[in-house]
Amino acid sequence: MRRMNLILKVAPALATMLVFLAAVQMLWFAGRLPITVAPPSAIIGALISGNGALWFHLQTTLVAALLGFAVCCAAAIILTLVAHFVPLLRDFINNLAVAIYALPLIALAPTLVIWFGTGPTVRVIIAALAGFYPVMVGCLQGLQATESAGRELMRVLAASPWQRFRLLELPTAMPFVFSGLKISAASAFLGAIVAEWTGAERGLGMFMAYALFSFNVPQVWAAMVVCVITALASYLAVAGIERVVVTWDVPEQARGAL
Amino acid sequence: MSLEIKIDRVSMTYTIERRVVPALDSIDVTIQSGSFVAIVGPSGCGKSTLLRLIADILVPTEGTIRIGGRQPSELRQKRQIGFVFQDPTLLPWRNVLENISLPIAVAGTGAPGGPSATDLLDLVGLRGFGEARPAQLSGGMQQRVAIARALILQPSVLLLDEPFGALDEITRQRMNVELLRIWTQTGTTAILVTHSLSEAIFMADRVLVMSERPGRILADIKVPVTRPRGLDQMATAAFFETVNRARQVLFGQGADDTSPRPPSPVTVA
Repeated sequence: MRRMNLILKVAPALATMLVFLAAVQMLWFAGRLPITVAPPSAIIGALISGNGALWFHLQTTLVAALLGFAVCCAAAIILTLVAHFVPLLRDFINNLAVAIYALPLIALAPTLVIWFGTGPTVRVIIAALAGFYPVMVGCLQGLQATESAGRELMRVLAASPWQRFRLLELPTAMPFVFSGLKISAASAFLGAIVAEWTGAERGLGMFMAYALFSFNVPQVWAAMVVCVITALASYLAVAGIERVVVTWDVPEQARGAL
Repeated sequence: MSLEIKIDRVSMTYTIERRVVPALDSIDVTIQSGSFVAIVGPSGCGKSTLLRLIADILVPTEGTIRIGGRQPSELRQKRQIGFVFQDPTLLPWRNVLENISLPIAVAGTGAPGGPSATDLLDLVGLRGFGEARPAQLSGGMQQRVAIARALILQPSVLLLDEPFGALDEITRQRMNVELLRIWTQTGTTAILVTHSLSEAIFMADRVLVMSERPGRILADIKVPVTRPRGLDQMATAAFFETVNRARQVLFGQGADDTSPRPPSPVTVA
């Protein structure tokens, strides 16, 4: 029954996509497709051929994205804990998070390349900056999501601040943290690509830029397809972990926090 | 164990957006050890505030509270206060047994010679539901879990803040009978805040009737209904007389029009 429901849910989207791709392919056969758009057949060809070049570059990007994701998660968690236990710093940390969010990464990346060279450092930094804000917001919102009755209960039980955190506030925050993590995972990956665009000796972003400048349209599109699939997969991977961690019913507002 | 609660000229004011809002005005009352007292009054009269002052969730602006001669804060630190909130306030990631034993998880140990979580599960009539998650239980069952949690450290004072306010009338009556049975077995001093007069009189030895905000105690009514109590006692003359007295205090004169009468026998044609 559940499988049936899943099929019913996915089928319309899948059908629409197939019809769209078929239409694009038809347009190409009819010679009506602009030269900047590659037909699905050419994109599939580009994905398969190239002796695993796409896969090689994807790996580089993935490693940088994962490192950046780890860095931004660690930073967000540490800053949130500081804001939580040192209320005096809460406003400052909130503003800092917004400031980081407001950084124009596309302008920052070339500057960092000048400082750190075209190695992996810049990719990791930009990935971390790109992924930082959603986790940070998830953590901050999550720790403020505890209801007053729960806090009163902890007071009646004479719980220490640490016990209150461990037994009440942290589990309450988990759904919020995960909705941040899901977005951050995808953002960190896309951040790594942005960094590679502005200067790198390898990586999916560099591959894209190279294909674009050599006017290899199918390769550009193939790289884009890989980007979308990978960003989606990282979102789903975190969602999978969430299902294991958050096993209880969660209010709607927590699931859709971001 | 149970303790006497002495409330001595307690006043409470809140400051909301620079406005000073008086919540309680000079409350003066002593609640005997081991007795069951109900506090009734209109919404916003400060009855829940009074309960929170006794529990040391809030601190009075003026006056003192002594529980067995000691400060509420001391009792709270010793985890001698059981509190049941209007909302069950169960932790959704813990199953029923884990919720009942939450106070033990915080305190590090249970009360010496005290009940186990399983004992309390039986006491509140939820045997077999220990592994269930709160979301799988009905509202009434969730509140039973909250009562069991409040009792696990064998508190000397049990404070109930409209615990059955969100339940339907039938479940509510049933829970009242259950709560009386449980209270009789534990023998703690109990204070029940409610806005239902009949609930207050059914449960309590004494009913404190409070005024509109700022809350004052308008009347201290002794309930002459004998214990143990069952639902049939809600049809006795003593019960109705007490309801009427409380009603007159709350609503003044015109109260007679809506006062309940013993049900007249139904005639079948």
